[in-house]
Amino acid sequence: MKLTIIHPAVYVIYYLLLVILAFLYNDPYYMISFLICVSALIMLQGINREFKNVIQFFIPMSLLIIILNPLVAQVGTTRIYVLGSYFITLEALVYGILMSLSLLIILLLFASYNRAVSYQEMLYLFSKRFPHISMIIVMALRFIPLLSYRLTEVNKISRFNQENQGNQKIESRVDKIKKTAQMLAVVVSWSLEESMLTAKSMKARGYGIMKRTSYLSYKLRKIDYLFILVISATTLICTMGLANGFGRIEIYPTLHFSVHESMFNPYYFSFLILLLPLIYLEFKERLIWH
Amino acid sequence: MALVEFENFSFRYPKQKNTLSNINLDVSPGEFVLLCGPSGSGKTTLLANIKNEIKPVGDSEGTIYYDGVDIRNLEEKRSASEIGFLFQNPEDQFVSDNVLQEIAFSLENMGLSTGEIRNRVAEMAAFFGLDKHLYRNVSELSGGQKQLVNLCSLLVLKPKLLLLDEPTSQLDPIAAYDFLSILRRLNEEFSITIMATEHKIDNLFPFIDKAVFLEDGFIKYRDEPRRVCSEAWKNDIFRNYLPSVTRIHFLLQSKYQSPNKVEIPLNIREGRRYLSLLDNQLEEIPRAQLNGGLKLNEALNSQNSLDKHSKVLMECKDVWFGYLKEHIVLEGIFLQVKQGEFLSMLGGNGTGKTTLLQILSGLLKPQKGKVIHGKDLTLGYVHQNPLIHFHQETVEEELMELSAEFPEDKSRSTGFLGFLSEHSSSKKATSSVNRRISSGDRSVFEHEREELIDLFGLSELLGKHPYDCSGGEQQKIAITKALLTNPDILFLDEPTKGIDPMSKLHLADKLKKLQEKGLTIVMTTHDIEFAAEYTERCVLLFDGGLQVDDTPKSVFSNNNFYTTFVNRMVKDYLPDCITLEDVKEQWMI
Repeated sequence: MKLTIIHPAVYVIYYLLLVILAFLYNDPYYMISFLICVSALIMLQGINREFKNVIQFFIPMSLLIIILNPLVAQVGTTRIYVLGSYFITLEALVYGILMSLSLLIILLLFASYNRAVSYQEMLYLFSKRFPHISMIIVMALRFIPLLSYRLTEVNKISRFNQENQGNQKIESRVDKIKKTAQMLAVVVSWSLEESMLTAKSMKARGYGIMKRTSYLSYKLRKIDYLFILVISATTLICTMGLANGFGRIEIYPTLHFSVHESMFNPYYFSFLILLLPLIYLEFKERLIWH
Repeated sequence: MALVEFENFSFRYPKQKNTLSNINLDVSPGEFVLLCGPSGSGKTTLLANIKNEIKPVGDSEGTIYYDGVDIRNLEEKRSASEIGFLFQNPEDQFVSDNVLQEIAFSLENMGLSTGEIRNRVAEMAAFFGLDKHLYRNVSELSGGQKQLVNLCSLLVLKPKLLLLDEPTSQLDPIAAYDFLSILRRLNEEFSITIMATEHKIDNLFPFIDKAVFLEDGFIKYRDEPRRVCSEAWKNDIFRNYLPSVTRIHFLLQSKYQSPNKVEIPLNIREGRRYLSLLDNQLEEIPRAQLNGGLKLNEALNSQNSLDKHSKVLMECKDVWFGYLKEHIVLEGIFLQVKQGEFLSMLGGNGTGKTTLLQILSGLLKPQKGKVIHGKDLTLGYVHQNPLIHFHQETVEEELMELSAEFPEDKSRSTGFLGFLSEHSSSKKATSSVNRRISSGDRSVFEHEREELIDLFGLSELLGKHPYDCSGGEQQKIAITKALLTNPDILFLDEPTKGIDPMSKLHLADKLKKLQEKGLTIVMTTHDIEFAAEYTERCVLLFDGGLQVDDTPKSVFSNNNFYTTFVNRMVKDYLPDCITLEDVKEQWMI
């Protein structure tokens, strides 16, 4: 169950910021803390199925990146010899791993976003500025399942006709294409015919005579202001840190990274704080509703 | 003062004769007006003309006044909110995919504030009991609920006038009844003026204030229901439109002396009271007719035993089907279809009638179980929505599609331009048809087609585009098209949906004729009267299984609610009678 706590616009800003940061950071410490926090968020939001889907998509993808990057990009100074004189570079390998990590974070962020902001809330955000576009989206959402239903019905009928008129198997590819085109034509004319009725019903209910309003309304509350304050302050500090090279490591041409380098600087902490508010809120709801 | 007033109103679609002529009609505030008449008599045109936004394109003369204002000059906002229009098909009216958004849609159009929108939605949703379903997807709702959502979306605008175009034609009888009782509440408790068109008027007639019968665009009768009844009874066509109760009354009246000053009964209660007045006379008849009645039963029994011997054409054994794992529609169905029978499948919305029909006809494969039929069996199938069968420009081409095409025709279809109008299935059909009717027999086939066109009275439609025909006509064309393949079994999915009583009679008549020639017909329907009158076997689906499988007589005479109006009325006297014909026979009227 989703418990909307904050304003959808705030959600959108927050997730957008996180995605941008996921692109910018490449320091392993930052990335790993990022990954842990986002995973925790997803767990709290309770989306195990989506999580599985993301992972299923991600594993082959990341393997591909990790293998392909060093094979293709032979930039970098630290050579690792694999086969005789053939070498790959450590830098390319590390770069591939970090890149796939950031890809994973972004995918998880999108999964979590999908859960946090329903499409209706998205539409609400849209409809203020683009009322017609949001209307079209609503109608398309209704239309797609209808279209697929119609397609299956027409398909059934056409198969039925083929069997019961005692026809031989389809002879050629051209015939097959013709047949499909014809089926589509039936679906389209059927859909157009029924869309006329939808249009009539819209007109009859006064669509287009006035500026549309929305049933949904979200007010910015205290918590939203607090949220915005926290994330803007921390983002500011993080960008300053980024400008000074905190959170980014140099990979090419030579990898500069030491495990013992101290992470305890204000920039890292502010990044952690940036990651926490949503987790905190979700956790609080969990405790209340368990 | 009248809320709606037609003054010498005529309407004509471009290049056609008048659809409405000289309409003079007053509708007072709070009235419930029913419009009836054969399809094509202008009912829908009349309704649509009251609603500016969807007024059909064409020439009109005369004026319609709404609340004293010429309706063409009515402000947009007033027209949209004060006049609500409900269409026939619940599905097509939806704009969005969830209930809440659908109800709020009309309010959002009016530019109301969010607070006001929420208030009105909350009130209406609670009134209709839709509050539990607000966040559901519209596709998960039953037909009745869908139509309720549509109505709700009109009512949030606080309309003064509701125009309903056959609102219950797509619903099962129970859902239709619920819907109509809501209309009645709206009319009685909130004094909303209602103008409705409807074909099944048994439930509606008792609580309307005025009935208007249209014929060819003219108002034939326009009066308070009882008076309309006595007039319409004299007309051979319109008597079929009257409620069964009233028809029984008139039939009895012609034969038996009834006490003076009997009001014409309109509902079952009044009908039964009327019968009790005739009590003594009726008591005597059955005794006199006892022998005849017995004979009838014997005849029925012998027919049944005959049926047992006739050949089983198709059999389904332990068929299971579900679209989702969590929701299994059919749970272990056993059914036999015998040669030459007319089988009807009944059941509420969503009980799997259509699914079972599609499984029988091979459109769907059962997940478990088998459908067994002879190899050389040809099947014909007509979908719920006949539009799905049409892909040609005219009805004639539609019907020619299966005719024997000869090589010179074929070469045409290979051209690029012939691509859309001509298509492969017709070519393939050709080969089979050619096989069946070797070239010399082509004329036989032609002859057969002409015969079918004659039988269904399609000759006038041949030049029309199939999409331009009315619902009943489309149904007939689709059936004709299915029959052209010479099927052994014809499957019909709700053939009587939205068809007026006369066309229904004609259709039944034709199906009967075909059946006599040896055609087996399997049909799903919501129309209890139709099933009772014309089919020989009824199957009732409930909860995934075949609840009842028997002759209509025994199916319906056992039921108290799910039965015909005739049966409900005469239950105390003739428990076995379910159709007007039965009653006529038993009471010798």
